[in-house]
Amino acid sequence: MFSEEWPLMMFTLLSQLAVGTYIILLFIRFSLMKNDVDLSVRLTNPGLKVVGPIMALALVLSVFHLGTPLGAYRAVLNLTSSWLSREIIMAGGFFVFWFLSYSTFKQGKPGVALGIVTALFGFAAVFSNASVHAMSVRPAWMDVNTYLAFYGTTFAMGCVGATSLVAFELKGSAVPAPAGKILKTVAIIAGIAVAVPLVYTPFFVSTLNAGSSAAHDSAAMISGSYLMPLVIRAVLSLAGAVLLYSVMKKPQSILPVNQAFGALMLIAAGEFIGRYVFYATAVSIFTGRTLI
Amino acid sequence: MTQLGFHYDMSTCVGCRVCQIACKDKNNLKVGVLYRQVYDMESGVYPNPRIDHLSMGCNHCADPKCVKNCPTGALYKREQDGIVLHDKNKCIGCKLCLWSCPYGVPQYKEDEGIIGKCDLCADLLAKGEEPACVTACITRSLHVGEIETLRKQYGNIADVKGLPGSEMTRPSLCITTKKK
Repeated sequence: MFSEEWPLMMFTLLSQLAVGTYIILLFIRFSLMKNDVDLSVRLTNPGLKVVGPIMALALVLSVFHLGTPLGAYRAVLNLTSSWLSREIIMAGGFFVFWFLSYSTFKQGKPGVALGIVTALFGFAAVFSNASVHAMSVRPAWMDVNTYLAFYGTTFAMGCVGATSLVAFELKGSAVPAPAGKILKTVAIIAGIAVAVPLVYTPFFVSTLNAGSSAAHDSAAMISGSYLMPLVIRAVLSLAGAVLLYSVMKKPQSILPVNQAFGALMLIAAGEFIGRYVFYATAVSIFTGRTLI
Repeated sequence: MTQLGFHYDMSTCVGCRVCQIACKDKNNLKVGVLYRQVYDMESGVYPNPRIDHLSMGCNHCADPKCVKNCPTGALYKREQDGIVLHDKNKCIGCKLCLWSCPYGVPQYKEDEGIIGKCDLCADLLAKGEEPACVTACITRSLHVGEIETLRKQYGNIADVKGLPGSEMTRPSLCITTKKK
């Protein structure tokens, strides 16, 4: 049963990686722009180029979740009340504005307003994505945990994604001092983004335990058969965040690309397991089993 | 607006599932797809065991989450009688209605790539007939009609053990419960 959700799960992860990476690269770009415009362009332009294809891949995958993929264009017909329609508009808007903003950046223009609009579309896409789940009848999703999990993934993956792309661009050359300071801030944001959903997990489980029988079932799965995957997820994500911070903390002239990509792999693996558990433990409020 | 709905009498239902079969036959449904489903609820301990049944189709809710969440507008509430209908030409099989219905009513049809659901046999109603499940019931445990009229006649209970709270979507359903 879960197999049919794989494209959807990969859509959520990849779109959040794209949005997070764009927002963090924009933060790095605008922060550096005050002191050194050339450096801001050199460090962020190649990374910003990668964001679009990731988002495009996410959107293509989302179509495979549908039973009738050729009708995908009709998914925007109920904007007045459906979060799924809003999500498609926001995700599509993010992709379109990414193209416009990147084209502007490539021409050497600052593109501040376009960048901010793109980031807002991305932020709204993640919000809509979380709301699609939160408006369901699955108690495990009808909680603030859904928003924490989705924004946590966005910023955790965004921070390591952006740092890896900057590290790749810097390969072989020294890290300029202002960039080092900003990348350290990015590493701290990654740590917060990883930690907040993990810290909330015990509160989330206790909320579920106090709820309906479906909520109980979800809580039992999270603290039972899915506990070990969650522990592995926590260890991987925290290890990734610690690795990223340790890389950025050291005063060094060259940013080790391998370690930055290692942090990306660890956090991506952690988020993948976390998202799998998110889908696998969501029990519908009415399954028929509740009646027996 | 008129709102049609069901009355279901738990006290007379024997769980024979003829309503389920009649619905399946009327809608020509494949194996595993049920627009109406009968659930059995076992409780008590020896020497006082107990079994109750619950026959559940679409409740054509006053505030249907499936309609609200459907991204294409394929699910909609008909103005004239409040029936929640499904336009198969608009449906894209996103399955969000499966995540949205508190009664587990919409069914995904793998072979068609879209969902399907109980439409209260709107075609039969138009001919002055009753839905297939109502006609087939051997104990006359199912009734269809204007929900306010049914509530006046049979009471206004839509919350029974095991069902989600009726405040969530305000189902057009009234149930006569079994005495304890």
